[in-house]
Amino acid sequence: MGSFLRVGSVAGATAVGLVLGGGAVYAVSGGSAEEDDPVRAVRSPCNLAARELLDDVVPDPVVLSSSRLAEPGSEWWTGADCALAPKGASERALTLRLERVGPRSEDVEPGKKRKIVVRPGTEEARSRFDAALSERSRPCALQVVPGLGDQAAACEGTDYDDETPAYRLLVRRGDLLLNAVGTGEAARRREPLRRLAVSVLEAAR
Amino acid sequence: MSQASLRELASTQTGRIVLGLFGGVTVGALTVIVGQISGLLPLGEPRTLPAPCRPASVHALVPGGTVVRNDGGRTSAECGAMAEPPRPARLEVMVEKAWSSGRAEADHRRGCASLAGLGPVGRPPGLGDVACAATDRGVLPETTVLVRRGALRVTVRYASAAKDAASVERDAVAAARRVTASL
Repeated sequence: MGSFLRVGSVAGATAVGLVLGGGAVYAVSGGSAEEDDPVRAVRSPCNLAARELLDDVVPDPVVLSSSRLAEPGSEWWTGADCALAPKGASERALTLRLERVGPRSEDVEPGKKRKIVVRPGTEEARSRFDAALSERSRPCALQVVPGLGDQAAACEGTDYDDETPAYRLLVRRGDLLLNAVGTGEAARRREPLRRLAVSVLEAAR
Repeated sequence: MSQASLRELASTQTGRIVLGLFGGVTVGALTVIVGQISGLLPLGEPRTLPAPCRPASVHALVPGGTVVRNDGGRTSAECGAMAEPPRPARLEVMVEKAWSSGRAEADHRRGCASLAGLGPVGRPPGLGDVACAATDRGVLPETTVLVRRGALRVTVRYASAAKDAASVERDAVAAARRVTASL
């Protein structure tokens, strides 16, 4: 009887421990942490582009490919891109990528007492724009273009084959960033491409 | 703690109870962690998620397309297919198992709130109360359907330039219904 009690109390303590330990981990992993508001999804830039403005850049356009850049609600930014070609051609003439940057909480004094500050999406988008200005990526290094959206930059270079001319345009409006690359014939239609970019950003708001 | 003091602790009844308790906490915590990583937890959910291309009827939705991904797994499953012009289309199906249905519910709510950027968010028919969908209309109509069932979340995204927005929406919801039923 005595030994039964002794073994029983140890087994009971172990069982209680199992439940406590498992329960604690389950509660911690399942509990929702403080999260930033989900960023609103953006429509595909091909769907936002007005047909008549698109025709000026790519005559009789056909969608070659499109994709979503982040799952809805899972990241602090989101985006969609698509590539267009004139009907019958298989080489892309215009690539559009639209991104929306959401608000993000960050610890402003890491290592010290936690001090969380929410940076608005517009501010994050501005720093992304500035970062793009200093990067040396293809097809060329961006130069500021005044008078388009809130901020704009563009440059001309060549596509990945080092032969086809490419014109790259980056425009920010509020928390939205639009990256447009015209290749081949479309690289020469800069004014229509700028008008198209501004209208896509207008429609996306 | 040295081996000698452990032995000393185990020699008394109270010590054995304390050791049992702490050992239980450790084993219980590890069991839950291992269970969640391996996909065996939460209980009641399917242990393995089947590759979702077949239940989604990928070849009917993306005729002549290439299946890029078709993977099943313990905690997630994914299908991706796309077709090039003249009939560009794209289908993506994702199934994810969360650590708890509360977690899945929170993620689902965030996803539905995010969809408002695409267009009016509706409640697709035949998928119960925990589903939402929105359609991005234009040259390439694209519908996103989000479903939650228990700790599982299903995302179906279907775009086709060969169909009108209403047909794309109907086909996407039907695919989401078939995938959810297959789980």
